[in-house]
Amino acid sequence: MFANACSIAREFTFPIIISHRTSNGKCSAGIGTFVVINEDGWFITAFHIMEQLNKLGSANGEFKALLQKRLAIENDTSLKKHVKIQQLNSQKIPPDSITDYSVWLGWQGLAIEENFFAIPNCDIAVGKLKNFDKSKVKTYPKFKNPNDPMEQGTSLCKLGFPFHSIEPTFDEQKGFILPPGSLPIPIFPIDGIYTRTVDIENNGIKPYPLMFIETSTPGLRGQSGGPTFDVNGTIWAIQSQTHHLKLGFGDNQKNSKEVEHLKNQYLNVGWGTHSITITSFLKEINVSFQTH
Amino acid sequence: MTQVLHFNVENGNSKTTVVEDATASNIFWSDYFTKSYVDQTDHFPFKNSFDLMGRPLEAKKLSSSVHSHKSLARKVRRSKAR
Repeated sequence: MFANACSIAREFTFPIIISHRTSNGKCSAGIGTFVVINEDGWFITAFHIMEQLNKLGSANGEFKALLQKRLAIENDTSLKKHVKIQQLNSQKIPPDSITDYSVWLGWQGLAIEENFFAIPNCDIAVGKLKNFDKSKVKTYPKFKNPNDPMEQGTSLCKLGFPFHSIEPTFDEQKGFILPPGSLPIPIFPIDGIYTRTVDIENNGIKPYPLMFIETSTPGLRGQSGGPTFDVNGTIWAIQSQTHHLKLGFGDNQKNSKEVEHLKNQYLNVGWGTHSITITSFLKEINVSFQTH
Repeated sequence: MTQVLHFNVENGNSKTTVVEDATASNIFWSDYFTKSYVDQTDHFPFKNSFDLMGRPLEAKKLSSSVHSHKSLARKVRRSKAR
């Protein structure tokens, strides 16, 4: 059903790999997804991915500040040796301090411009790519026109980069090295149907509705920021989060091993930012896009 | 009241280098052919944790030594009672 739509969506769906190293030398990486919106290099993803990048930046800033403090103590000749040791001990570097971090966006040299736009409540972020080569993207996405009918029960598919792990190494000269086998990242679709619309409290924040689309299947780890599209490859939502709905079986039964097992059954559903919120937001920030 | 739109982000204080040849393929960044490097253990970390009915195997069965200890103690008590 989604074979054609997946071949369209693969053209504009890309991985975002965020690597970091802690002061105890451990390196790890997280994978998310983004969608290139137009040939000017604008892209859309989940806000929590950009937030993760910002958190790493702040943690790295704290690490650098701590290093400066320690250096100042070490260089202070007026301090007695035992006082110096005491002060250095009070400014120990935690083993999980972020010493280095880096983002990789699918092509060598591609980077994110410093300013980006976001609606944190709706977990949506829009930014622009530096060094973007428009010839690399053959097809740009079309977003679902929210004025057209969006029927409950419509088949939708989510695309992204789950079930893959990358364990980078670190070199002082080369930075993070993604080891052989890291790329290409297998892209993974999962289908479901449009179940409900989730209304986010607006409180006058925006002059347009803030909404999520719920689908009957989970958004998988690594699919955050990826497209949720129909059989034509038209984007209905950008994947944000997964909710675990309790099925409630066995709630009124006596406790036993079987009942306990029944009580812990869930339906995992995906939430993605609704096309009405996305298209209104893109208009607000003057980013051109196509609708269908 | 309008929510703040602008945020700042940095691309990191370091860079990322890839080992694979980036010019080799135009689908360099993604492919839907999974390769053997995809760690199968990632897909189902709870392997051997459930029985065929999907119930968790919590290894609650007592080991044979504990059984024999208990039964032995019981036997001793019973024999003393007699």
